[in-house]
Amino acid sequence: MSDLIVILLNAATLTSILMLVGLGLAIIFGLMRVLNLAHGEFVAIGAFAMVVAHDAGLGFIGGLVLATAVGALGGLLLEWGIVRHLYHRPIQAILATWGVSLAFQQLLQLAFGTGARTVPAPIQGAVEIMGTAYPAYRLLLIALSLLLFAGLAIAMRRTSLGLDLRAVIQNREMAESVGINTARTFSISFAIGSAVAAIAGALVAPLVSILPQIGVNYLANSFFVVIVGGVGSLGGVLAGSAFIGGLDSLIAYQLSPSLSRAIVLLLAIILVRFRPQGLVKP
Amino acid sequence: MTEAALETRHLALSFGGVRVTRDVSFSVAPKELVAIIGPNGAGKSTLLNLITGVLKPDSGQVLTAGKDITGWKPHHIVRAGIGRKFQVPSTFDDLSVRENIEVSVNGPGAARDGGMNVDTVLERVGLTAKADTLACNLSHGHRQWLEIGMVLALRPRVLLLDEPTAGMTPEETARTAEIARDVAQVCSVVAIEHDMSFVRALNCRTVVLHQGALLRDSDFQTISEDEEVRDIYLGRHT
Amino acid sequence: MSPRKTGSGGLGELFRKDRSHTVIFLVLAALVLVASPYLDYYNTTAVRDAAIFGLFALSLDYFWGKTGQLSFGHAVFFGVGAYAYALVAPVLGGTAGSLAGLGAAVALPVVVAGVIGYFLLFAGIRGDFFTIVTLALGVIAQQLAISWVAVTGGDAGLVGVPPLTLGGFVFFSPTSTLYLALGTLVLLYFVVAILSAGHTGKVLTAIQCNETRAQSLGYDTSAELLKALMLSAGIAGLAGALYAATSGIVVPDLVGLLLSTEVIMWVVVGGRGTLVGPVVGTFLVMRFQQEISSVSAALWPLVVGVGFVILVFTAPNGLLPWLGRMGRRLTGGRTP
Repeated sequence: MSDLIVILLNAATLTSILMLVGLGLAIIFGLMRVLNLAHGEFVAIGAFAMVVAHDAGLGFIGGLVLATAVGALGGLLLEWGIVRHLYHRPIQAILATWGVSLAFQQLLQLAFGTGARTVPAPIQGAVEIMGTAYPAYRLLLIALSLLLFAGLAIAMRRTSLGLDLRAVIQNREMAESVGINTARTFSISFAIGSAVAAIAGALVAPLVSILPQIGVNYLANSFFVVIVGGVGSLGGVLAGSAFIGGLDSLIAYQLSPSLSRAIVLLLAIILVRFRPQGLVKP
Repeated sequence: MTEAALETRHLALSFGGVRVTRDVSFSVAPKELVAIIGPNGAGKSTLLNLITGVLKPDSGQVLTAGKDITGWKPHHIVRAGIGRKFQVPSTFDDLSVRENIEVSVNGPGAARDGGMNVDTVLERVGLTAKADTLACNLSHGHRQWLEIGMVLALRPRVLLLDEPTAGMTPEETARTAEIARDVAQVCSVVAIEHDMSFVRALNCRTVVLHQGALLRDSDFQTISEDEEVRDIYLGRHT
Repeated sequence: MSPRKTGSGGLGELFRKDRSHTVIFLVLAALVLVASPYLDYYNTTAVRDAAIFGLFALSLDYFWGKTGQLSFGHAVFFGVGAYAYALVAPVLGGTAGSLAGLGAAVALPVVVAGVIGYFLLFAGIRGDFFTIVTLALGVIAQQLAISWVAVTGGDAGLVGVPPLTLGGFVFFSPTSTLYLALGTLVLLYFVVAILSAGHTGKVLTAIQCNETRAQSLGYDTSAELLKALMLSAGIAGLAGALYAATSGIVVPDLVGLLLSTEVIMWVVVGGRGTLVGPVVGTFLVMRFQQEISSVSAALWPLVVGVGFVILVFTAPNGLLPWLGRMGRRLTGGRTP
């Protein structure tokens, strides 16, 4: 019984993080048909923002703010400097953003060294749920992620930017012909997607060893989230995250983490064979 | 009795409640030339997609030479002898004209006892002089002919032409009609078209589709004098 | 299949279509052969490694160049080949062990490519989706190679991999391994170049140009792509085995993302789809890497990353084709 609760909560933690990382990727891909291979670096940026904030005594909230700001700014720069020139060349966009990713990992390594860093969780201790103690910070992480995700989902429905965004995802030519400034929509969405990934990095920072290469795993997993879930819808991101995060946590309880990740990704590939459009069609 | 080269029996398909193909039955004899006409939205392209396996019918059958090919995969239907030329010219741009034909002749879609001779095909579609040109350097009309040649090279039982003269000059349209009539010496040709000058030049059996259903099936002369067909084309009758 | 193929295939077709590339390749191979007795130990092994990685680049160029589908996890095939040789060759030892090792090093990547390719290609996964799924496979493979210590030796890898032994001759001295690598490269270059110039290459080009059209000529395009991927994986696996046999060590980096990235860079620098270009690209980039690494080894990934970005913007079709165009322009020749 208590094992089951731990597995479920572990799955919820991983799903929350994947959901936030996958969200940015899905929005950017749905909008611009560009796969941003540097997306994982925003997770790393967010985690290192937490390290910097901790070293500077800014605290958890300060770290979140710093991560959001640096993530958004980095996203804007990447979109402006590189991605916007490669909208119609998907493979070249992949290569260029991958180049940025490699260079960035190396810069992080030069700045912070090769050793792993850690930051303490802002709240310690455990909460008892149905007779099982579970770390309080992980529960906070799940709650904050859901709140952020729900907020973005509402913003997609209610704000004019959200409306523009959905219009461009549906039909870019139509959106342009009714006067939507697609270039501006792209920049802002790219910044938001990157900032959300950085927030995910900041939230996960107290739970992991923070290394410059931390982004790659999240990148690979969140690609599968998008592929499995389906492109261009928040429901798809949710379904994909739950699939990858849930199975990973379940299998990792019995087997080593690497092996379980391999099994999950193989299952995802098999799933794609039978549902090429993803679990949720937009 | 000779078996029909192509036959559809009571083909029907709906998209979200809209009946895009309604009970379409017609047959094409070996080496017969048939034009299928109808205004935009009459269901011409849908009919082609049903025959070539791109779409699956809700009910009804597609047969070639007595064989039921309903629901087969597109590449299997090609191998069964139904070749299709697309509306948008689709050639292999990085290959030369000759290589385009070679890929076709040497492929699994060619008739079992071999495709056509490459030079014969080039001659039939009038591209002998351009044999070594890359397809991307051809004019629009030449690319359309090359594509007809690629399908012809398979030595199909039936050659389906989807609006082959779209975007062509009047001279090219006339030449395309000549090619189609010439090809009909070798195999059945079914041309879907809404350009009347082309159909007039073909001057063959003409089938009229309207709102997904078969409205008329007669020689071109009779069709061109039909009041109802004229009304449909002028939009007076919907 | 039609009983006779029109259009000649084989060597004749290769020399008709790609004469300049083949001549360049043979001249360069001959130059290496002539220079080999004068190379010192360090340079002999460096040139040998470049030949082995050139073979690896050739395998990627056959798939990426001819089909247009970019595999971002190609090191998986190279690394699986290396591990397969390292694990199988010592079991029997001697010539039998070497042959069994080579067989396993080719067969295993082919099977992996077959299984993965079946699920992806027949699901209609193409283009950027294909690229990122293969990238993710690279991530998994690297993690497995590190964590499956019982088989792979984990981070430390496998050491003491036996050298290739054929009929009593042991390829151990640097010069003999250089000839081994160079000979294999030349042989497989011809295999790949002849295939590319013939019917197979035309069909793959056709699929790259217009897959729907190729289907409508009766081709099972997913099956054709799968065959190309499996051949490419087999060659990559063989290159991996040669690396394991000549260097004597296999480490998780051989299946890793950095190697997958580097092989793409070699192909891009040399010119995708030219077959000879990627081999030349490998030699050039690896030489450059030695220069950089003599300053600082940590600098290399940074250079690869920035180099990627610069290449994409300045010479997306490859550095060598770009230099060729520049050269023609300077000498007043016509540019195509």
